[in-house]
Amino acid sequence: MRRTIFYIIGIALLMAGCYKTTNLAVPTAGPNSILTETYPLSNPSRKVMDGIYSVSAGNDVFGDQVVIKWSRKKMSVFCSDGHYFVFDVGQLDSVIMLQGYWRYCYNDNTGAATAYIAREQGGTDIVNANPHPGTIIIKGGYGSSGNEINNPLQFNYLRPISPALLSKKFSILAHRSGGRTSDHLPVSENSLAMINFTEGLGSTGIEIDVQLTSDGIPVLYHDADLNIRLTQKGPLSGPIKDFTYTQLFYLVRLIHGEHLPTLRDALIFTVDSTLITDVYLDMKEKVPTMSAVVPIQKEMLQRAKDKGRDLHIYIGLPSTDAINDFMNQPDYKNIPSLCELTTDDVQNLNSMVWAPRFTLGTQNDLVAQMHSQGRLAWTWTLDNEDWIREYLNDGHFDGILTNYPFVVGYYHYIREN
Amino acid sequence: MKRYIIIGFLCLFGTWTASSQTNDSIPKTRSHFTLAVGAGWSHYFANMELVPARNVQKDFIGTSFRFMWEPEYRLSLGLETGFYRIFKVDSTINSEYNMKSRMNVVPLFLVIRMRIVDNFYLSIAPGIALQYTKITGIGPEITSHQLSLANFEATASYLYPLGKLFIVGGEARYMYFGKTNDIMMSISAVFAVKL
Repeated sequence: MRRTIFYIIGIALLMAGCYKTTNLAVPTAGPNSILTETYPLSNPSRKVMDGIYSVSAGNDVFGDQVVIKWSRKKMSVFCSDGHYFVFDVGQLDSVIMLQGYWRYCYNDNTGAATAYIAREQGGTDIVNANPHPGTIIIKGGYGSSGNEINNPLQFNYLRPISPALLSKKFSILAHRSGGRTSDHLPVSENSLAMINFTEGLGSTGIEIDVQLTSDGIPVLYHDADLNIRLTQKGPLSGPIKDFTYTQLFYLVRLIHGEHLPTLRDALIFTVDSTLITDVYLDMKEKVPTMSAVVPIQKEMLQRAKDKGRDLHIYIGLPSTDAINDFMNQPDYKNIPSLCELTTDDVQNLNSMVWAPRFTLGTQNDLVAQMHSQGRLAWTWTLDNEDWIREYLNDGHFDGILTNYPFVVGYYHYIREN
Repeated sequence: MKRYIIIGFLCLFGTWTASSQTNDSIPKTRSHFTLAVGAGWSHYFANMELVPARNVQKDFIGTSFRFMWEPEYRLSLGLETGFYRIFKVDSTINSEYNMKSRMNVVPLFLVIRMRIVDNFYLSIAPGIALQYTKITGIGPEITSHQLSLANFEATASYLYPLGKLFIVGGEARYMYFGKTNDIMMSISAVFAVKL
């Protein structure tokens, strides 16, 4: 009998432990940051730092070469195997200070990182925005837990990112508005916080998942129902289409506490507060949604134009249902769209982007056909390093949708042309 | 993790079955079917992050209905359903809405039950569950439902025969609903009829 009671208690404890959450903290600089006394770098200075660097300390973890690329606010370091750094940067008396963190995308390894560039080792060239710096040596360290720094780190400037490469637009599109919640990022997928965050990961574009609430408001959310994978535990559960936006706004929080954004709010934020150039609206609903989404797309394209932003917003057409819904819109051939089906569908709909899934191969002949018609070709969703390298080197796509934009960034920017 | 738990359960029952063979190989009853009805107190282990625990009502009356095939040996097999209110939330949102939300569940479990000693049984039951959420007080009243596929129940029962036809007893029940990560327990009185 005692053994039976022991088993029952053991089973209850096991069941209570089935649900595991991971809250991976990103090391932050805090109030004593070395950056509090520094000044921000100008955009020309930032461009000087972009380039290919060798790694002379820390190469056992981060590889022999890295790519450094500035985004809107952050300086990112892309490594070959899924490691990346995100730094805040400032300068004081021609000394460049860097403070941030590193992360390995395939597990939870992360840590703080700090570094500096001395005046005579590139600091002066950077502050003066000398487009041909003789040398840039970034020296510092990184840690593997908390904010401690206990391993040396050094990057040495080798060459700029190929101008030929930069002259051609290539879109690095991040999934679920910039990254997946399941990858333990510090912000939730399909949130304004993620749109703000993702440029630091190397994204130049985003894919966002669009669904309609019961009162017809397009919101960003991936799954069909409210669930504990994407949202905090709350009093609502069930299909998202059952609830009004007011109910979702007050009674649902994404996993890191953010509200579910409306599509309109997300696009306003993208236009006003980011340098993102491409937005791919992935329509998750089987019910007609185009009549709610197309006016918002039109309004936001005009908003971007008014602000002088180079922003493209494409309505994704992943199925024949979506195509039929899309074709009910007046003048649909002039609505910017992205078609995931065949090239014939692309031509019939006059879609500006053809986006086949990556498992269909590089399809260079069809990509060339799209290019000859003035259309773009993107592929999705490419996460494996070997495939990314192959598609970049052997394919001719104009963009890749990925969960790991820093991996695509590394293999893209390190190319010679 | 769930795979290990399932393997653990199978090993556990295998052990019990094997140990029972040596001293209990003579059937005590004939094969028969039983129909059982249970009712009693249920308690929800609130884990809500968005609503203060004081606003979550956790204790309700739950009912269960179980149909079992009981062969002459220790293990028996059956189906169980029931009706439970998991929680009821009454909360003022943003000083503007007096929101009420409740979730009910109708599970359907495949029950594997074993007699451990005379009149005392343990059972485990995987199954599906239909979950209903009703919300009022913030926007229109909405009733939503969803299917939860990964659910689990464990039950300890004391069942005492009253003559040849009837059985009365009590059950302690633990239930886990995977879709919403909800855990509840219940203690109920059971009345069963041999068919």
